[in-house]
Amino acid sequence: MKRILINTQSPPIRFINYKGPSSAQVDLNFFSPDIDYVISTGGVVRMVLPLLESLINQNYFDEAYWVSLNVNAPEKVSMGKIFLNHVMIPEQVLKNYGLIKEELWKFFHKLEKKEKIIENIWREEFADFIYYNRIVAERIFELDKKLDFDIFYIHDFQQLNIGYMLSSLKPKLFRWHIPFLEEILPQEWRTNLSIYLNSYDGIIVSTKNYLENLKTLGYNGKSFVSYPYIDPKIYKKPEEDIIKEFCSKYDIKYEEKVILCIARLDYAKNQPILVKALKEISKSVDAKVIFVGNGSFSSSKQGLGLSKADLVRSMIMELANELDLKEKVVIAGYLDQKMLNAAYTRADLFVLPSILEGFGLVVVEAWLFKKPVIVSKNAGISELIREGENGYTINPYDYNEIAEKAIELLTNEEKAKRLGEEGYKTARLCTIEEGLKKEIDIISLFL
Amino acid sequence: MKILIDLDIFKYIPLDIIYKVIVFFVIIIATWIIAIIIDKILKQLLSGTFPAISASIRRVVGIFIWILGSLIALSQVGLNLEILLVVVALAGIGAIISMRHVLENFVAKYFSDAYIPFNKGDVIKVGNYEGEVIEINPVATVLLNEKGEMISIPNSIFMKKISVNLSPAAWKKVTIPIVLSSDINFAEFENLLMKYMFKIKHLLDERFQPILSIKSKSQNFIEASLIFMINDKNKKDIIINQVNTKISEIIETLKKKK
Repeated sequence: MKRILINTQSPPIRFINYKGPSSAQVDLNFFSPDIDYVISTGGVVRMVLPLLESLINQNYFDEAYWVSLNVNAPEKVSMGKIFLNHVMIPEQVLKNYGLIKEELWKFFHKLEKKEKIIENIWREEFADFIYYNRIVAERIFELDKKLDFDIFYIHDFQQLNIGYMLSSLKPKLFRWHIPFLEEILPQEWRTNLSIYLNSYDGIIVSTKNYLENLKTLGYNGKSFVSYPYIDPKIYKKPEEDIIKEFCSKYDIKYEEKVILCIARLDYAKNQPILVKALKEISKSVDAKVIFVGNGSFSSSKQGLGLSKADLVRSMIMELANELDLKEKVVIAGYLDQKMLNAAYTRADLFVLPSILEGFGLVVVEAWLFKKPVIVSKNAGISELIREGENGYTINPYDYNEIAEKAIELLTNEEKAKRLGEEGYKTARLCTIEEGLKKEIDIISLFL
Repeated sequence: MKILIDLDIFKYIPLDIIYKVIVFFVIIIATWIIAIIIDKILKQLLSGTFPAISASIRRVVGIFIWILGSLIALSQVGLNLEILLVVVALAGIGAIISMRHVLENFVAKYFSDAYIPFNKGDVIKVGNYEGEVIEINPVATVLLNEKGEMISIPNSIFMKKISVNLSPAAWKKVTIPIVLSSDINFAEFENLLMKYMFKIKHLLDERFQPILSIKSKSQNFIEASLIFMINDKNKKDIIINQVNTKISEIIETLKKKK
C-alpha cells in the first residue's frame, strides 16, 4: 500500500462550533458542509487538496495522511481516502507560536528589518515555535511507524524545521510558498536555514527567481519551480442577477469604473497604497475600489486568533475618510464563490499592490475573466508579465505610477481588452491541469 | 509387534541412565528457551545501540548461555567437567583478548562522547592522516581525504594520539550528547532546554542558533545531541558544565512531572 504524508499548518477543514471531544475520531460524511464545517480557503489548502485527490485517483497513492494544526476540531477526521490528523498545542504556546510565525512572515515579506529577525529567533517565544514543530514531527514519526509512508511532503516556511526534526531517511519534499529572497537573509541566520533546507531531498518554489536564490544560499538537493495553480472551472461568469445583486450590495453605479483588489487584509498586501492611488485616479475617472478578502487562518477566530486583519481594515477606512473617498472605497470582506465571480465580472481593472507576494494567484483569477491587471514588481507572478502585453508591473510604493497606469487602462478600453485577452492565455500556465502534472512529475521522481 | 521389541530394549538399559538422558534433553531444551528469551530481552535493550555492537553482544551472550547449559546438561550424564571448564575458561580469555581492540574502541567512543573535540564535517589531523570527518561510529571514526580515500581511525587512537581539529573556529562548536528515557516528553524537554539556551545567548555565538537533533529513537531511549556555538573559548568548560547541569535538572523536573 502506497501512502503519502502531507503536512501543512492550516487544516483543510475548519469546523464551525465543534463541541465534541478533541480526541474524537470522526468521519466527515456524518457532518454537513457549511453547517458543521467549511473547506479552508487558504491558497495552500486549495492547491494541496486537489493534488491529493489526483494522486489517489491516478493510483500514485492508495491513501493520504494530512497532519495540520487545528484547534477546536476532532483529532482525527477521515475524508474518504484522505485522513486528517490534527495537532493541538496549549493556548499560551499557540499564542507564542503565532507571534513568531507572524514575525518570520513579515521578515520574508520585507516588512521587518534584518536585525529584528535575529532578535526574534533568540526570544523565549521561539522555543514555543520550535515546540510546535517538534510536536508535529513527533506525530508524523509515530504515524510513520504504523503506516510506513513512501514520502513526506511538508508545506510552508513555518514548518521548515520539521524536515530536520523528522529522523527518517525516506524522501522528504518541501514546498516554499512565500517569497524566497537570498539578499534579505542575515549572515547570522544562514547556517541554521541552510541546515534546515538541506534536510529535504527536494524543494519546490513558485518562481525561477526563488529557485536561483535557494541555490545561492547553498541548497544541495533537487530543486524545482512549480507555479501555484487554480481550477479554472470555478471561475465562470455568473448569471446577471448575481452581478446585479453584487452591484446593489456594494452600491456600484452603472457608469462607475470598478478597480478590484483581492487580497488578505494584511500589511504585506499594501491595500492603503491603492486608496492613495484612487485619489489621483478620481481626478480623471469616476472609479470605485472594492477590496475583497478577510483575515487568514492565522488571524481567524477558528485559527490562531491574531488580529492584524482588523488593524488593516481600520487603516484603510481611516485613510479613505482622510482623503474624502469614503463613498469610493468598499471593504467587502469574504465573498462566496458566486459573489467573487460577480466581482471579477463587474471589475474593469484588477490591481495587486503587495509589498512582497509569494506568487499572486488572484492575478490568474482576474486573467481567467480577461481583465487587465496591474501587479506589484515584488509579486512572484510578475515574472509572467510581459510589460504592456498581458499586464503592467508597478513599484508598490509609488501610488502615482499605479494611478497613471490605472487611468490608461480605465480610459483605453481597446488596450484593456487586449491585455485581458493576452492574460487569459498566460493563465493557462497556472491551471490545475498544468500544476498537478508538474507536481506529480516531481513527486514521482522520489518514489 | 514393533512396540514389543522396543520395550524389550528398555529392559536392558538401567532406569537411572534413562532418567539422566531425559534430564539432559530437558536441560538442553531449557537452555534453548532461555537463550531465545535472553536474546529477545537483549535485542530490546540494545535497540538504540549501533547494530554491529548489538549483534556482537547478543552473539557472545548466546554462546555463553549455550556453553553453560551444555556443561550443566553434560554434568547430569556423569561426565567429568573439570577439563571442559578449563577449556571454556581459556576460550573465554581468548575471546576477550581477541575483542580487546573492539572493546577499547567502544570504551574510547563512550568517553569521547562526554566531550567531543570534533564533529562530523570538521577537518581533522591524527598522526599522518588528515581529512573530513564523515562518520563517527562506536568502533571507528571515518575520514575522507582530499584524494577521496576513506580512512578509518580506531576510536582508541584518539585516547593515545594527539588529534588536531583544522576546521576554522572549531573551538566554538560544542556537541553535548544526551540520552533520555523515551517516557520523557521530548518536545517539553526541548522546549525547556531551548528557553535556557536562549537565556544564555550572551555566551553563545549568535550566528548559530542551538539545535537539538535526534540521533536514534528506540522503545526505551532517545539519543540526541545538543549543538551550539560559544563566543568565548575561555568559558568553554564552564558553559559545558552548566548546560549539562541544566539538562540533568530538566530531566529530573520532567521525571517528577510524570
